[in-house]
Amino acid sequence: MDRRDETDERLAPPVEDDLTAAFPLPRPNKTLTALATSALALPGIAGSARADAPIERSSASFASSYYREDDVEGKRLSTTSSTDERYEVFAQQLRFDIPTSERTDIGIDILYEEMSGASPWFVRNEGGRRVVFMSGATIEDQRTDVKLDLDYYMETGKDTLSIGYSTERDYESVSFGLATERNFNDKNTTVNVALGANFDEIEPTGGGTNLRVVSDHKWAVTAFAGFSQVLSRAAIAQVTLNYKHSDGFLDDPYKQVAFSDTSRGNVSDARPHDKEQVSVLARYRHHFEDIEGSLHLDYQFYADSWSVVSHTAEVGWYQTLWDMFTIAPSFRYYSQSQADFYEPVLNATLLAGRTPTLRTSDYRLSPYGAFSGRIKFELDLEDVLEYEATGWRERVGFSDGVDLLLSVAYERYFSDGHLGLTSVGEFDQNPGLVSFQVVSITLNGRF
Amino acid sequence: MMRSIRLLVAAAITLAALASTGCVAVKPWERDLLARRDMGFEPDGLEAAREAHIYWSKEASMPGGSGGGGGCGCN
Amino acid sequence: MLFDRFRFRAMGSPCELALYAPNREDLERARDAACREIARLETKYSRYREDSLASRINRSAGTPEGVEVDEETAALLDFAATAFAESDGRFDPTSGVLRGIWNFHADRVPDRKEIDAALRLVGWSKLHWERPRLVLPVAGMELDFGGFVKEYAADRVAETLRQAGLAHGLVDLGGDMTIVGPHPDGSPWRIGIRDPRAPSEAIARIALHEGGLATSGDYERCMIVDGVRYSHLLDPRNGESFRRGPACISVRAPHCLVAGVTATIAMLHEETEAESFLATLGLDHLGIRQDGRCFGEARIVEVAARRPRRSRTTAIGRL
Repeated sequence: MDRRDETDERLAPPVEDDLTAAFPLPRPNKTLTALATSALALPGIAGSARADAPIERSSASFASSYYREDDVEGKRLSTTSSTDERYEVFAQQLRFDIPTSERTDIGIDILYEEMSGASPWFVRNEGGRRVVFMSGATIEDQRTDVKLDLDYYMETGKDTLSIGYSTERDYESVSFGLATERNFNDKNTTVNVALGANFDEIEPTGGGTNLRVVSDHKWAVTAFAGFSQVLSRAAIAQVTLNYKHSDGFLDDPYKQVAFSDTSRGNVSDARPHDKEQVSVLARYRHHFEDIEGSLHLDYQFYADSWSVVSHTAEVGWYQTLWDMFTIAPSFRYYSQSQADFYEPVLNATLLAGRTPTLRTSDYRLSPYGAFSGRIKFELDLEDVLEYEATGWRERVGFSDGVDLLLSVAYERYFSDGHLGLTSVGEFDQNPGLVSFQVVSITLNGRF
Repeated sequence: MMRSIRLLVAAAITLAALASTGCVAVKPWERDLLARRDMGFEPDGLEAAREAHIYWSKEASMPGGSGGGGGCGCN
Repeated sequence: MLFDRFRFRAMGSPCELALYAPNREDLERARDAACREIARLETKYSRYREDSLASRINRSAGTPEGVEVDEETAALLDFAATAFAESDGRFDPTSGVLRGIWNFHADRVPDRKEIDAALRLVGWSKLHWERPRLVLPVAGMELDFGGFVKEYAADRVAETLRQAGLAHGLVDLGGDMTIVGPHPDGSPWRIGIRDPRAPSEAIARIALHEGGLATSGDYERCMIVDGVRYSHLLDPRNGESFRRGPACISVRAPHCLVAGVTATIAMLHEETEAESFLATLGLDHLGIRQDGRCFGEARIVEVAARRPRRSRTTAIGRL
């Protein structure tokens, strides 16, 4: 800013529109303001508030991934459990984005996954230790999930209507969503609001696992509000609030809770019939132009009416190399406290013959922390149109008009009671905590 | 529970106010860096959906960052 | 989405429209509208055409009643007046007379007497401009729209294309460029800036999503007399060829018109002053000094040497 211009600032007509005038923007240079203002007085060059461009090329993505949980450690496994193997999942994902008109497009997501393996059934005391007893029979199931998004674009944002359907042998879910996005302040600020609902039906089957329900259902409503702000030419941040209310059958029909006195037998998992969940997520992206790298920072705080509080922090770095390669390592830390009715093994002595109305031995409601590391490699065969003034241009890439993006990723996830933010006693730690790895390959094409 | 909701709302309002007053206006023709794929909040949609699903089914929390989403029998 | 480009000559320069449209029909309709707009502006503002408004203005020189001009021309004259005032006389549309004495084909430097005689016909402050009447009070005075009408035309044509429904494309009128909109996937147009020392090499690339880009350089025409290099950049304030400025400057602005005039004004500053002038202005720019080094807002450019690109593109047209 040229200090000499200060006296003239009052006289300089503002070029910003009404919205931005409300913010203390850096004042433009006087000479530039004068030139820009008189240029804007010219007929027919003022331009250019245009619609938030809908996608104008079709794109298709395919991803294949393999998820595998580590076997249960010997010292954490019940000696009478028939297997130490846990879950593995093969998933295939397909996504299409298809422009249907100048203002609309359709997104279709299809997921098909095959799950197999065993999962923790209950926890018991053995030789002075908590050990997990795995569900006997190997569960085999398939899940198909289809989701349809309809987007409508306008000058100041877009609206989205979504419908989803998911089905597996013992489960069915239908979901609906309405989302809207609005840009303000010359598209420096974006506000998102979304409402959703889902209706789920469960019909537990199999395994001779003393199932107490034949069929039940639950429903949930979700609300989401997001606010993102461009902070500089190379930085953007977003804060989102998420809220979910669930109602109905929220128990896990495939889990039981054991008593410390084994003669009392096991009781089924029993949870409250409603649940309120709330989270706030903050995300920050910063691009470092000199080294062509982007920093990703995410933090999420979560709390629910079952007393679980969690913190998630994630840091990632996307390094572009030779224009077409990206290597992206990222680390995630997660810590949660336990649900208030979580008890790995019910203390028969203290309970003196009573059974608590709410109880679970589910490791997902136990206190723990988790670390995960991920590395992703991408190869971007994108058309780059080089326009050289009144000269030549070359299309570079896979072929004319087609962009291809290939990525391969690997993730390793460890969880343990001792990794949490608060210390966990040996008898609260769940022996069924999961560690897993995921490999995936994704191919994206734009046409 | 109500306390944490009130806290969250207050934090969000403060952040929003901070962000909108301290910001510089980046003009549309200066968005070349922000438009990079690696600057997206979720650069890879399929991966984001997969990750969210895995964490959601293995942890107590729900994933934030996008509206809606269906259920499944895994949680 | 259909992509096509159209090359043609207009306003004395090679021009190109690079356009995306949903179908052939829309593409051609938009292109035709753009071509009509270019033809309209050329017919109106070319000083080489007898029937143009520019010629009519110049023929009126010396008459007390001058010419009454239309709204568009009035806005252009207001713009020129602003640019003249803001540049302390460096930008002056009446300086075309100087070209008559600086003949870059004859390799002869005019003497002081010739220059002084020509300077009597140069000077925006000599003319009377009061909407809608323009008076060139001295016979022989000339008004040359050539210094900014091509830039204005680029902005007009881009807007014409937008009006015709296109959202993605680039307008290049002899190196004065305005973006209609980025590539359909949102990626920017990458524009190569040629190295003044090695005209077949791109010294840098500028990525543009929107707005205009204009370049001014001293290499387009020059002559060497007695070992001294005289550039075609003539300083309206003293009638001399200006030799102390940078080799070339590209400026990016919301409108090509502002970019072009800013680049022209900056070229008539000494190298270090040009740098501070542009820095003060706050517009993205890339300049190349006489010694070949770059200066400016490195953030807008990809300096070619910094990043090996998979593209083999090197051929650059004139800027």
